[in-house]
Amino acid sequence: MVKIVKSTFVLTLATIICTGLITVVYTTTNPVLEARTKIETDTAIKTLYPNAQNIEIIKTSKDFTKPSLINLFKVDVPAGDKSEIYFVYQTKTIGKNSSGIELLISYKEDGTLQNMDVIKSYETTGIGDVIDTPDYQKAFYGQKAGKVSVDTITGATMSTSAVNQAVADSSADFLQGVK
Amino acid sequence: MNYFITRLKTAVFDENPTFVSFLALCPTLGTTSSVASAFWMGISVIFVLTLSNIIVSMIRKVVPNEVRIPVYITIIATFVTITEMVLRTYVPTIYDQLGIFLPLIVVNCLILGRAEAFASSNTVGKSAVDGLTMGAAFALSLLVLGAVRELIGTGKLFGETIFGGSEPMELFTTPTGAFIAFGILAWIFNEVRAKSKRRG
Repeated sequence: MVKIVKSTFVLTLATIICTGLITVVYTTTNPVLEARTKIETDTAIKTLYPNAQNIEIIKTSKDFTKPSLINLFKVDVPAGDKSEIYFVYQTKTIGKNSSGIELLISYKEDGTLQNMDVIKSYETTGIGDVIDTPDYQKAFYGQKAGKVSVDTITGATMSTSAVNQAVADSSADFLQGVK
Repeated sequence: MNYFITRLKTAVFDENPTFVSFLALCPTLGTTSSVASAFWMGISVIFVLTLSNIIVSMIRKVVPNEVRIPVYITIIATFVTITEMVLRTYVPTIYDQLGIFLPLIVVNCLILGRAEAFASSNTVGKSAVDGLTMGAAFALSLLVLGAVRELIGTGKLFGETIFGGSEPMELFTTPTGAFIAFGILAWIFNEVRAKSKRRG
């Protein structure tokens, strides 16, 4: 009996100490990681909209039902006297490579898919990396949320299916209401 | 200092975890497509192995025999998680390159093996030296394999072009090439080792 109690106590104590240590490192590294992620995302959004003035995060992964959706940003872009508002989804889906494809997908207020950019992908050079070409991305532009349809490309089926999945998920979320 | 050098020689030549004991071959083959990723995997293993050896040695007299393996695994997993968080934060490109092989250090048989076979029955100082030397031997093996694969597979070393004029053998950057390069290096290493032993 004493042996069981001692073993349980030692194992519990080891787990508690290890958890504490991980917590300390997490609280130190996480703010740095979050700050860097924010800078990377802001930079990526600025490549879509160089004049973007106000980039506000309005949904995070915990607010979405689809696991591919990471963040939703509301972006103000000055156009003449007034400003236009865009809703930009940050998404991550799995293509050929298990590290995933990170995409920004932007919608106008009326639900038109307006722009797209690949932030990060490790798809095969010359095959799956077609997803990072303007010709491929242009096929999505101008289509309405809920009705977006672009065929997958033979030879790059996994990569293009992953993009289609991200677009479908963001489009479904947009229709549920973003404001 | 003499003890450290003796242990280092033993770890590199006589008990080399990669080319003699054939331990931890999964990360060895998976992370050596470039010298940079091999280097960071080596550093991660040195960090985890040394610290887990120190802690295991410190608590060896208070941990009951029945729960020693779960306790060792918990300690190793903690240091691996810390390594993962630090690399993800400060060296994100390398974190992406190492991928699944980084968390898999938890089940690296070299680390659990040294905790069980050495640190659990030796002093803190000796266990620290064992962690450092065995980790260094592992890292050195990864670096050699990484250098050979990157040089033959891409014609580059540390990303700098070395063989600009000739066509690289891309096979060596693939998993198949990893096995071939590893087999050839293990053969050369063990031939040299056997010859030096015969010479005495």
